[in-house]
Amino acid sequence: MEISQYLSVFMDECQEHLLTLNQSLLELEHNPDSSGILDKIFRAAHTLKGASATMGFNKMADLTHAMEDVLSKLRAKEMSLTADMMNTLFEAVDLLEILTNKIGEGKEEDIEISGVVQELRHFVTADTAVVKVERRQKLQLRYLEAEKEQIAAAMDQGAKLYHVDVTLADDCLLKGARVFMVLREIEKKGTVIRSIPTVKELEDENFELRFIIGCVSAATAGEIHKAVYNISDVANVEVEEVPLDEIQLEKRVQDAADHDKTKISSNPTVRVEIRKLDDLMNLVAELVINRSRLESLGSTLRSKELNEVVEQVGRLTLDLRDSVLKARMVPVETVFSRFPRLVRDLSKELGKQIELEIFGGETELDRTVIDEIGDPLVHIIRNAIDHGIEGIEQRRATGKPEQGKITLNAYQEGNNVIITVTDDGRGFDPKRVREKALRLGLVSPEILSEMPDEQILDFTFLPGFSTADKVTDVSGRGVGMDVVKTKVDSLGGLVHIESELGEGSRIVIRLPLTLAIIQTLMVQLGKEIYAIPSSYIDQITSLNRTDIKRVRKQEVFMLRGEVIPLIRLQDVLEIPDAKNSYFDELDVVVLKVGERLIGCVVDGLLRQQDVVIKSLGGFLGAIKGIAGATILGDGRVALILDIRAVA
Amino acid sequence: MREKLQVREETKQLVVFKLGDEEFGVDILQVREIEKLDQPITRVPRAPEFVEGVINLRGEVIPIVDLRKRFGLVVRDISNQSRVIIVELNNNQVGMVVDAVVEVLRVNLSDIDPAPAITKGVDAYFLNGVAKQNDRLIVLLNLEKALSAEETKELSSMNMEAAE
Repeated sequence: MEISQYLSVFMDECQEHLLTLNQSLLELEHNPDSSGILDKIFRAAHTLKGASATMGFNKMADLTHAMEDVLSKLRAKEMSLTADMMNTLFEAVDLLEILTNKIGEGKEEDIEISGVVQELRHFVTADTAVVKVERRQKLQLRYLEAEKEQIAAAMDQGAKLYHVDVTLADDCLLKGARVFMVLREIEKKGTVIRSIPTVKELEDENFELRFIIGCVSAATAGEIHKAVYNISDVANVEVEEVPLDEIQLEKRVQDAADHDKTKISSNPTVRVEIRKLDDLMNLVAELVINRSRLESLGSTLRSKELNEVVEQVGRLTLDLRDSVLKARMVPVETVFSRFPRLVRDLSKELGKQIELEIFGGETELDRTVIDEIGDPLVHIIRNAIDHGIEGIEQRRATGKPEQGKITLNAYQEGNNVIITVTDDGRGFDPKRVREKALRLGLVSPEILSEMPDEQILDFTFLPGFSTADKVTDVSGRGVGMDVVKTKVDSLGGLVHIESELGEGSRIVIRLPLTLAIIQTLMVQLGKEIYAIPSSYIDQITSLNRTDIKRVRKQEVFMLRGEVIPLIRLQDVLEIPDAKNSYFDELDVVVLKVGERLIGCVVDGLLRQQDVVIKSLGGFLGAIKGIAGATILGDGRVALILDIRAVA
Repeated sequence: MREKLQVREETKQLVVFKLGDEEFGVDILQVREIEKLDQPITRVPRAPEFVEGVINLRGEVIPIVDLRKRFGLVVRDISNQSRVIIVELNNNQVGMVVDAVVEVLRVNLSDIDPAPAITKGVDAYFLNGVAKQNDRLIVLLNLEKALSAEETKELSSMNMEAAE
């Protein structure tokens, strides 16, 4: 019991130091002579060493010890920082992250650290020749989650995953050509998933003599070996079959995404378990519900004294609620802070020059939202680096600065937080999106030709919709925009793309500040009461029956010169006793879903009310059209509409 | 060895309830509480047919399943004998409307037999077995199947597709 208590404190500390290490290493890379930054890195490594040794995590202690040795030599100016050293230090931090996660799972022993530790030691003993050899021996292919799925799918069809380790002869001429031959032989038998170095680097002859290719193929290891070995100038080939469960995932994307969930703001704080805050939030939610109950009692009893108390209690409840909500707010910085590293690594890997600018890191969001928003942002930024920003030559050719730029910005707007990711890359090509949409049969050519470009870009959010002209197996591909959309939707947010062909694109995500309490409009339909989230309501209007026109079978009406579809909510929600079909004067709630307006006819408008969202539970949680439930002042349950599913 | 085992024979406590004339039992460990149905049930559109709706149970929103509808029995109105048995299933609470709650009973595991194919119209698919108590037969419910059987699975997979 006590050990696990210490463990959680230890893990928290680790996360903080890792954050410092990552950030400071990035700073150091830009500013290699700053002794202040070195001191900071040294201190973090040193503290980690002490703490992990005390806790008995020997691997972590060994690793941090080796880092500390390198850093202290650097501080003493006994040696100077090299690019190799920088990379190894980054690798060490990555390993520390993995170790931290594994320690949490109680599996520190699973992680191999000797390679990196040796490299670090060699820097200290200045034996760089050996370092090179060591580096070569530990070439290790890592895959993205999506690639793993691709591999699994291929395996289902009877293929196997092979790592083909090729070394070319020392005196090999035209290395690029040999690589080409090797790739071609392998492509004949299967599909290349990933390689070290990347295919681009291989084609550019940007490697020494050895490279590893990860591929799926139905051929046997012997057949692949034979095919590759027969190419001239190939000195050595090793083909190894890798079982699916031994695939190493690219942790920079995957693990980082996981562990950020536990990351804590570095402001001076009291550590509180999230669970306790959640409990507190639930209690406040109960109080808010009972406040509404008191209010309805107060108005029934018409007692002046009671009303005064109710008013007081009401105000206190609201203040309390705000305070608890504030306590749950975390700056988006906690998510943003991992992107400099991501951008650095990816742009290096792809041979691009990219600068990342971050604004508004101090903007605060509810923890529940923060936890969820990291993954979508990773996808967007990867996409921008991978497909958005052009290669150096292409940028030069089109008269852009060689260095691409990605800007991450967050700011609050009313009850929403807006996060934008802007790049100055090639932008989306609406023409290509149109072609692709046609090819996939998503819309008819007539409808497509009438759709404005902005709307066209929304197709990009559909699963499997990638416009990358060549989907290389090695690069990150166009996966992910559908993931972004799904996730943002599930948070009750909105996402859209703005783009200028050749100039760049901007992806705008609008998120609610919190998920726990929302403002709603209560509407009556027959005997039932439903809550409509106010954030979707554009306006409320009333219509005369004669104002309703029909386009084909759809009821429509005119609003500000625009034709708007009219939906009878009772049809969508299968409410038997709704009365509005008999009314001459209709109450219409105009909803704004994305850029679309939709009118919903209801029997009556009741009141605006802040409601606490309650889940319907796993049993009914997935019902389409219902976002959750809330408890009314009289104790009854009212359902909250999921506008996107209704409209 | 064998004798000892028999002496310490394991028992199970059941909450016994009625649907029509028939007695059913659920393991008491799965039962959270038993409530009167004295509040309106809020209908949930697009819910499976046997789901009556949801109620507010001291701040929690709990789905209510009508077991008669679930088992395809003749549907009856709620009487003052009717009760809701709140059970916990895979960390979700669900309420089952039954005609009456009879008692809490301790039965020996050895008195529980596999369910016969049909017991008065309730498909053996929903049952875990039958407990014999003297001349009473108590039919044991398989909650997993009775409350989250195919219909709900289909439903959630449909929604998954819609979300994708």
